[in-house]
Amino acid sequence: MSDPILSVSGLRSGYDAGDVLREVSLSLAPTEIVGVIGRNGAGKSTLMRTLIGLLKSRGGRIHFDGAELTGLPAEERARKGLGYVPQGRFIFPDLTVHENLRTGRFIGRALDFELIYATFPVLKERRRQIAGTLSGGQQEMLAIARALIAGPKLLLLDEPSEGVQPSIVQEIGEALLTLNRERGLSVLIVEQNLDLMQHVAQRAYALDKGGITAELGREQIADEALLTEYLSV
Amino acid sequence: MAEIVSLLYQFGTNAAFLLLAALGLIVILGMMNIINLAHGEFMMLGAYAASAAVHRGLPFPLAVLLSAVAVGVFGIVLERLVVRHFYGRELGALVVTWGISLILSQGTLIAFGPFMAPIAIPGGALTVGVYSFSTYWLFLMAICVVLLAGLGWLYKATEFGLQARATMQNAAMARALGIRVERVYMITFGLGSALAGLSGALLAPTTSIAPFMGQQFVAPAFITVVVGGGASVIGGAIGSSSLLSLVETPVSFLMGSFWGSIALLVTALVLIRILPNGVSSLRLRRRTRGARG
Repeated sequence: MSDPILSVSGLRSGYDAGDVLREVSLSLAPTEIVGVIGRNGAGKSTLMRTLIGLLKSRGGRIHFDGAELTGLPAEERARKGLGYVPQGRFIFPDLTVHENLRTGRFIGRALDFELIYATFPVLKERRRQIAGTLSGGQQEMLAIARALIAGPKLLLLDEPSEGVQPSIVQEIGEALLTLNRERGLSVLIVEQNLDLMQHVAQRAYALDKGGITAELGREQIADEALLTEYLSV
Repeated sequence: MAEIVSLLYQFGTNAAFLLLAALGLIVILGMMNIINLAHGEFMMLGAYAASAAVHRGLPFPLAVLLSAVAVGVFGIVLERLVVRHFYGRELGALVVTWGISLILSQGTLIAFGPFMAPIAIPGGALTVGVYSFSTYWLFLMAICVVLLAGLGWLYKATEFGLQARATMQNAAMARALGIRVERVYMITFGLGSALAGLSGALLAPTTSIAPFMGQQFVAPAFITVVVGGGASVIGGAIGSSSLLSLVETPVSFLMGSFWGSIALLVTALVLIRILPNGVSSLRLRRRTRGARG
């Protein structure tokens, strides 16, 4: 295995009420798609927010693509090639679709609009529409497209299927696989939707009570009963 | 005929005054959600800088530009040293800018005394029928149009404008996309301060220049901002300043400027009662309805 693109060790973080993550360690090889599963409140979104830097870590280290991220603010992490799609999407509702995409292009390696529009054709059709008026699925695609157009090396994807109709979930899954195959995009994906997880993830971590409790390979991910168990413990 | 021209002129004068008084405040409040209680004092500084420059023999237009730049730089320095530590704490920002306003007005009183020699209104007068109009106020109306167009261009058509609008809608998300939000805030505060300085300098010839002159601008500025609402910052400013002067003008014309001011306050009260989110919420409401339909 080549040098990991992301390696996290002993990561600890949380909110005023106390630590949510305690001693999380994980790593991701370049071009890998890795899932994080766990029941509600396990700390999945906290992990993603801490990785992008919107939440300060209280201990541990984050190493990404040859650089130490620990202590850097979110905007500098993004500039190093970390893309973030939050749970709940957080597109800019009063900007148009095209303007939302432009907000992803202020950093170095930005991609062409055409590449992104080819991946998500519906966004091209609606490029002049105010983003807040898109459907949930279209907003999710926009949030992913906005992160992708920055040309990230690693995409942090938090619950992309939430409130999204199945056909669009499938479309998102295909887009991820294509970008992974053609552009070598690495993805760390938090997901409760087992179909999507099984479709895209090569490996997965199980997160429970703020710590990694298991590492699952491809065959274990394919085992629906096992996954359900991790989600409901 | 002459009466109509005169009414239009009064209307333009009132609207221009409200807009000039409010612009700097609106930019900072709308984009950063910071209520800058030192806004009036920033305008006072602009007026002082312009008068001082004119008294030293500088041509008025140059003095105005210089004042805008000086107050803008002053705003950036204050933002770096003080204001930025209060982002996300609206009440803290309110108190700290109030403190700054006290220091500025009292400091000016100590340094320059209770009055500064006035400067003459540039330009002459136009006569229509029995009425005569100051060309300077016509010029100020034109300046307002230019400033609004310039701000519209800055926010709609430039890279900085897009970064600022994204930051305004969701600062955390903007950060996660690599937008340097701190820088956006610094420039925005500088721009708002420069606009306050510019307005203070432009209005300096029309008023007496004193350490506490800022107070006369603050009330109309806040009324314009609140009536305008936050849905569309610039649109709200245009809407509220024209609505307010639409009421103020005929009342002043018929009953005198005292009753005109009262009419302005009553209109503001009624408008806030009917449209708690301001005039600009009308536009937003129509837009969302259109999208659903």
